[in-house]
Amino acid sequence: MESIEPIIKVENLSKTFAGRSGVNKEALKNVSFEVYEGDTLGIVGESGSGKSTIARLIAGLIPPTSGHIYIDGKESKGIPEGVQMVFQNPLESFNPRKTIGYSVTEGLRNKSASLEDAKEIIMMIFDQCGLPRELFDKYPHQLSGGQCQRAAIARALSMDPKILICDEATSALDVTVQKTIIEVLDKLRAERGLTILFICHNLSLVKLFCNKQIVVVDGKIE
Amino acid sequence: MKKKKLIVFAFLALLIVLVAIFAKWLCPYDPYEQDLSASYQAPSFIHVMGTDAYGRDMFSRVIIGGQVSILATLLLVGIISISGTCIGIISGFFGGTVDMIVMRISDLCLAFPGLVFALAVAAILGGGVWNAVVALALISWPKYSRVARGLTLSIKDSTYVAAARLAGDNSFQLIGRHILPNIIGPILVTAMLDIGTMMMELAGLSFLGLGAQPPVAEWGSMMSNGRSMLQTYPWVVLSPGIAIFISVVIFNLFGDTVRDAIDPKSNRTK
Repeated sequence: MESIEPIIKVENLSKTFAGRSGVNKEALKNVSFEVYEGDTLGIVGESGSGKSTIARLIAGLIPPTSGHIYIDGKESKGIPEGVQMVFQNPLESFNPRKTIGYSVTEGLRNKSASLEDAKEIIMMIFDQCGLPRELFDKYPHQLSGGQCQRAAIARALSMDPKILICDEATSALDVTVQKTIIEVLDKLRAERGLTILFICHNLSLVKLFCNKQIVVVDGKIE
Repeated sequence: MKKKKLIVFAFLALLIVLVAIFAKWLCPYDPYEQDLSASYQAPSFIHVMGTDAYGRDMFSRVIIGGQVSILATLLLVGIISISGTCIGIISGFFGGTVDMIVMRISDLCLAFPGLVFALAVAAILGGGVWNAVVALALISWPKYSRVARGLTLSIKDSTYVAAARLAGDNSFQLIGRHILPNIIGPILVTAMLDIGTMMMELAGLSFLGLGAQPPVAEWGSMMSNGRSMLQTYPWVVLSPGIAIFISVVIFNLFGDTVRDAIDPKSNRTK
């Protein structure tokens, strides 16, 4: 069921970080791969192998040193539309001074939706993610890790993305919570036809959840 | 206990500010009215803090002097904390050349001994309370810009800022919604603790003749005018001196309690 044009095309992507002592760290070395619409691509690798760098580059949070990223056929510069990310530590991905409701509606309000409209949309997404509606007015520290991660998924979905990047989205959670998050992602993938980049260091989990996998070793795809 | 202390010192600090604001109506005598027949009168029931060389009531002058000293100090701290914070956030957030230029200017300001630099600026601008405020503002903002820059650098790469960028926030929205609310606590505490220091520095400039000019009553200049009488008529120097001492102690303790109240670590140990 692969469309002709890949939804994500990564070409010779390299990223070098400047070190403080003048020694540069080459995090990615000429990486190329393609992802087709509806795929769930698992990116596996050891800590420091460059998995999260791939995620941040595709999300536009950092610029590449060289190479190209094409999203939906267009070269991506800056933050691309239709790409959202769920981060490893759910608690740290929410501003501690703002309510969950404020954070999850931020994207919709930026698209000039009123707070009431945004809240209505978010409540539906909360239901999809299995989140109690009353968490809307709570602060991040008042939520459990699993609730927080589901709220992070709800925030990402509020922007109606085509591509969802899960950067070790289950790594900081205990096994039972991991299971519920995977179930939520699986359900959303089926309902919304999401393309998911699932970054993880747990190979068995990737094999279970993803239909394709790549292994990153020392900044290169093996 | 912490909350009680905060309430007590907040009340005392507010009391000082209210006395300064309503000084005109609280003075028992006209602080500028001279009566040479009553000069250098010792403290009594009629003149609680005695009188000065011109027979002016010291208690009234201390109250009206507080208006200048405290309000000028609050204005000064307000100016340096707001401007320093804005400069620090811009410098830390945008980085690059802007950061380098701003930080070298702040290094330059910090390299000078503060009061000496303020003396030079006040000497160029001339005497007067507002010129002294400008002189101190010019050398005191880097402290805030350093604090704000450091905090901004630690927050701008945080995950929630990245999430906000993905939600479509522009740079100013990121600063206003996510960076400023998370750095305002430490800045506020620095400002609270700075009130005492700035009050002393402002009084110091006035004492050296570069702040308030006669006949304006201001605590530093009142001490300066009466310093030769310290051994013969000590109340002329001690009255404004005690006022400075009490105000500085109250504002410093208020700053300490605000810091303790805001500090998340101290809250978690409860």
